[in-house]
Amino acid sequence: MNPSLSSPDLLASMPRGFADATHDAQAVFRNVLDALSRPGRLQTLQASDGLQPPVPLSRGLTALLLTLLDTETSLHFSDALGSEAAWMYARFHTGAQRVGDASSADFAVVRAAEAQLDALQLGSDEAPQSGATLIVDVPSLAIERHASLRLTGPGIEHEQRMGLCGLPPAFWQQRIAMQRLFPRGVDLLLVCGSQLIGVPRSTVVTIEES
Amino acid sequence: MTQPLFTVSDRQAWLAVLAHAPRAALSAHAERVLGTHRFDWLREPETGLALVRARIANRGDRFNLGEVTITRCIARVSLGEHTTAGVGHVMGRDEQRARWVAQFDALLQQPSLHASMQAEVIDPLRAAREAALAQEQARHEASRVSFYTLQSEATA
Repeated sequence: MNPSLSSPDLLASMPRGFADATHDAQAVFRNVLDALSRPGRLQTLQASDGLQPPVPLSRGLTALLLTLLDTETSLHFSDALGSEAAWMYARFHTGAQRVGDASSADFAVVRAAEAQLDALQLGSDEAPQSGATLIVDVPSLAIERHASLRLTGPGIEHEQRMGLCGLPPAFWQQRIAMQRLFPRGVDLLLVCGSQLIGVPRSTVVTIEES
Repeated sequence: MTQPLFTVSDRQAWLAVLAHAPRAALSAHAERVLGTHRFDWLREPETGLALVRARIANRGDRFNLGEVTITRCIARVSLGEHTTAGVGHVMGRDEQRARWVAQFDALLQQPSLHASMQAEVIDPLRAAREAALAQEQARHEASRVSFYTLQSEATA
């Protein structure tokens, strides 16, 4: 056992998880399900008050982690988000395994500026479910004027538009290049505050500049 | 740095006493001691399985003895500037017992309450357990059979 987790002071100052663990996790799981089945559409994460995110994670990000992680999943934080407080919080509340290297993580959590797809697990054709989920803390989910993304594919009737969400165009190029590998790939969850957009690997993305 | 109020092994000792204490005794102490404090549940009671492993004579290979049901929780309490977190782990699925253990553990770590809690709760519980164990041992002692054999080769 990690000695620092057994320290009494650490528990005394540990931020709280979900106020109502079962129902909050169910509600947020439903939001994630909606986000991934309706790619590109904005969802609001519905966790009740009482959740205390650790520094420097946002509320929505924390709610996602508490919902998706358990002892059988592995977690990678990027340098900007992986404070000792965040690691301890994730370990205490979810029991997820800490991995320093993004290439072996089931869930990778990064800031928009650090987002990289090529380092992540893509799964295999026999077991595509072992592909990673990339959770990105983005500065905005609004549609910008100069460029937008056009999404088509399962869950979208005609087409869905969304902004670049603060992610560099090179990142979206990487995402587009990955489409030919389907069913291998990475599922994307973009979080800003309590808002969420999902871009699963089945979605076809094109960049449109105006 | 002042002398710490208690050591890790002190805390292990009182947690063992609390975990072994019968429900009725815990309940009586809880009613008397806990009433006035407000606890914040960092972890609500949850029940799960733990694998108990053992080694024959504490030297052999490790083997799995079996699984045991455990209920655990964590309570926090603030008195003045001191916030302490108490953990409750008990065998079985009695959530209330786990809550009591966690609450006692949190209060025992409070500087202002440590001595009185130790004297009023832990010492009587420990004395009662030791008395019960001694009685049980005396009962077994009456039917004890000693075998006088040659020293076994294994220990020679």
